[in-house]
Amino acid sequence: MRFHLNSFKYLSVLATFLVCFQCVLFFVESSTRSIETDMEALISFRSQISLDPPNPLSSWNQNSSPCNWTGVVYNKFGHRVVGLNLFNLGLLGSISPQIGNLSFLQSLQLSNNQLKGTFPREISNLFRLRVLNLSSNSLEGSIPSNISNLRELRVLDLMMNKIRGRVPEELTFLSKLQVLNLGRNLFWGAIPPSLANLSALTNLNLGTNSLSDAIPGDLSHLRNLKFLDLTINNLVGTVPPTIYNMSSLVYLALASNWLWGKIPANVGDTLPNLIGFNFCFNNFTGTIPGSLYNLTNIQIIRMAHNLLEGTVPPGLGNLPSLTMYNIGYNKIVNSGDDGLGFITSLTNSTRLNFLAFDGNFLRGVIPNLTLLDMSHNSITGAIPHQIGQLEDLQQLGLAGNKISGTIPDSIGNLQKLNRIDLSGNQLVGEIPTTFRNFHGLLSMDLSNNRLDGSIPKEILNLPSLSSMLNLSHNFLSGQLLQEIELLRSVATIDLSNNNLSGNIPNSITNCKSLEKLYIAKNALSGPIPGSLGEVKGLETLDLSYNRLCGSIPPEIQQLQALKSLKLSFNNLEGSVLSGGIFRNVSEVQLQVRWVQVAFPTNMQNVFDPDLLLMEKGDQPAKLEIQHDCLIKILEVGLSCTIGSPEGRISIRVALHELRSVKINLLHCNPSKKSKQSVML
Amino acid sequence: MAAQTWLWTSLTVAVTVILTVVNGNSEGDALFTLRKSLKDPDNVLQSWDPTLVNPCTWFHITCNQDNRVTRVDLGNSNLSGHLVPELGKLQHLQYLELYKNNIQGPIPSELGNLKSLISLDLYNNNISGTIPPSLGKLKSLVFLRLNDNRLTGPIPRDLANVSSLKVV
Repeated sequence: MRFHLNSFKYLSVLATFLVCFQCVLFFVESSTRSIETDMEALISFRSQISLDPPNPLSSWNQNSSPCNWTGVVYNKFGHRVVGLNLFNLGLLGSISPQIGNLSFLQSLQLSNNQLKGTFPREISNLFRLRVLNLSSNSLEGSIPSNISNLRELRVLDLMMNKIRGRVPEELTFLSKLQVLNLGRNLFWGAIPPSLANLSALTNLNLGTNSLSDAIPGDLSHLRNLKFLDLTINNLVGTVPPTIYNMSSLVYLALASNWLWGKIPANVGDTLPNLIGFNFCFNNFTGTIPGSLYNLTNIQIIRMAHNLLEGTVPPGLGNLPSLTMYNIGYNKIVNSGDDGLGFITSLTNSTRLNFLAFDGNFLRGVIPNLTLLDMSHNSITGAIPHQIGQLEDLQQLGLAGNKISGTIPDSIGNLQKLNRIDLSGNQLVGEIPTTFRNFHGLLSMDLSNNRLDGSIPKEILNLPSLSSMLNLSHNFLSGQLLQEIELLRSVATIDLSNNNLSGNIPNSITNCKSLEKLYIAKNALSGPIPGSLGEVKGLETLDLSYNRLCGSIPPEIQQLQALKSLKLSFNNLEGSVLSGGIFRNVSEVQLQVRWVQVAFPTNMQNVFDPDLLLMEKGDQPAKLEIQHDCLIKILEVGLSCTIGSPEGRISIRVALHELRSVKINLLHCNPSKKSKQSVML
Repeated sequence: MAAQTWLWTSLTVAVTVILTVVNGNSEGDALFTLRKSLKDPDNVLQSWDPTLVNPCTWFHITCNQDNRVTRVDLGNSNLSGHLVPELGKLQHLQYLELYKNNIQGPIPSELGNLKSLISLDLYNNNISGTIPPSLGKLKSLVFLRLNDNRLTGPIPRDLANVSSLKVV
């Protein structure tokens, strides 16, 4: 009894003493740090900020009550600063170290400003801090090791700054941390395995840094982790198998590293909550894990630019939330004759807007889809008319396949198209006039096909065309319409290697943005329009291998930007030009001038005119015709002597040219008929 | 000796690849800053996703073999808002086509940093302010079309230094 009473007394005395001690402490603390020190800290903070207009801290002055200072949050009793919300204000300057005196601060939000200088060590004094967000500034230096003092921290967001150094191991002491975002900085070194102790962590973003070494398997201890982003680093090695067991993961992104190994086939089963999966730009091998297609809520599947092989597993049709599916640039092949039939099952994925299979080894029939780039595969069959239903299509890339048949008129329904590339296939028929509906088209490439008919005026009426119109290497015929002038913005027009005839329209002078004009290897006749001299940006002009006649217009000399001029193998004549580009003959392939100048006028005196007789008993051709004929034949002969094999013409071309020498003499110079071929 | 050369070449390749991957992203950041500063009622810029490794798959953007942006084609796209100085970071940009929109504000002088620029088409907009003399630094410029805006002030003499200029 007495014993109890005594201990009770002792205890109560102790308790009172402790309470008094706490009060004294509190009193001592509040007397060293109080609202006055808070105000001093704020004023010191403001002193480091530029006050140029628009001064975002204009309310921070002596005239206005501190309660009304922008972005300053006080506690319930109004006597200490608990929050500083100064984001998106364009603040210029640095963070004053005195900020460490705001000892009651729980939330420091300075994101999206232009703050420079180093991360102040004094921030680690803010032991009550729960949220530290300095993202989107220009802060430098490194995270101080005493960051471990911030035991209450829930959110540490330093994204998009210039902070360097290693990811500090001391972060491991921040046991309440939920969000750790260090992305888009200059961190290097290995990811510290001690991060695994942050058991409350839900978001870990270390992307876009220079982190190296392997991914530590310990990270799998983060049982609450939902977002893991390690993209764009220098991580090497394989992905630790335990990572694939982190069933809490919603978003897993390891893209753009140097990781290798196989992706486990059951990844969709071990990570059942996955919404986003991004493994692009690594060296992963093996096959695409089919279990990903069991995840009915998945939105993003990206594995492009790896070394994946095998076929596309079935089950792709069950993903209604899929927005992005990219397996391009791997080594995927077809499964048997089914070809690309699996893609038709993707029509259930109505939200899909990005699909890329390019750079694989796929063959098969083209299905229906939204965005389409299947260039450089071995796709056969025709373009189905249903392609016109993909009304949101902005880019259509089918180049470099074995696609046959005609271009369906329904393609004209794709009014949002801004790029179309069907080059390098076996397409036949005419270019559809429905192409007139491409109001926003920037670039058209139909080259290297078997298209015929004439170039419809509808496709010349595409004023939005700006980078390229390429119809080269087809069998297009007919005239170049004067509507070509409607292509005001296009930089390159390539119509070479076709069967175009008639004159080059004078209206081409209105193609003011033209830099490169290729119409070589056609059957164009008539003169070279002098109005080309008004196309001031023209850099390259290739009209070789046509039947152009007349003289080279002197306006060509005015083209200051002209670097390459090819006019050989035409029927050009006339005087030698010496201005502009002609001053540097080596850049010009004319051969007309060259041979003409070299050809002595009295050569004909030693020439046996009988050789030019069309028929025995006929009169010899006029002197001018003899002259022209000889020059052209010499041109052909000299072209066979060019040093580099690529520059030399082939036998077939030589024969063709020699035959057309005869024909053209009849065209351009009205003269006697000729029944027989000249003995050459 | 051969081993040394091999070592140096592989080191250079590795560094170039790393730099390309990281720097490609800064071009995407610059373009995304442009996107944030423009109003885009027709959603022309919907594909401009900053989380992608580089902007080369974005619509209306063209890149070269090294994944650097060479063309921005946004003519006649119903855009308003203003241009941003970050555009000056696109060191390989050759064609900046922003004509026939409703873009306001000044021409950022940082456009003078686009050393590969061949064509600057800002015609038919609502651009105000003066023509920055820094455009005189654009040594490859062939096409400069600023007509039909609300530009004021003198034509800077520095433009006369751009000897490649052909269409103004």
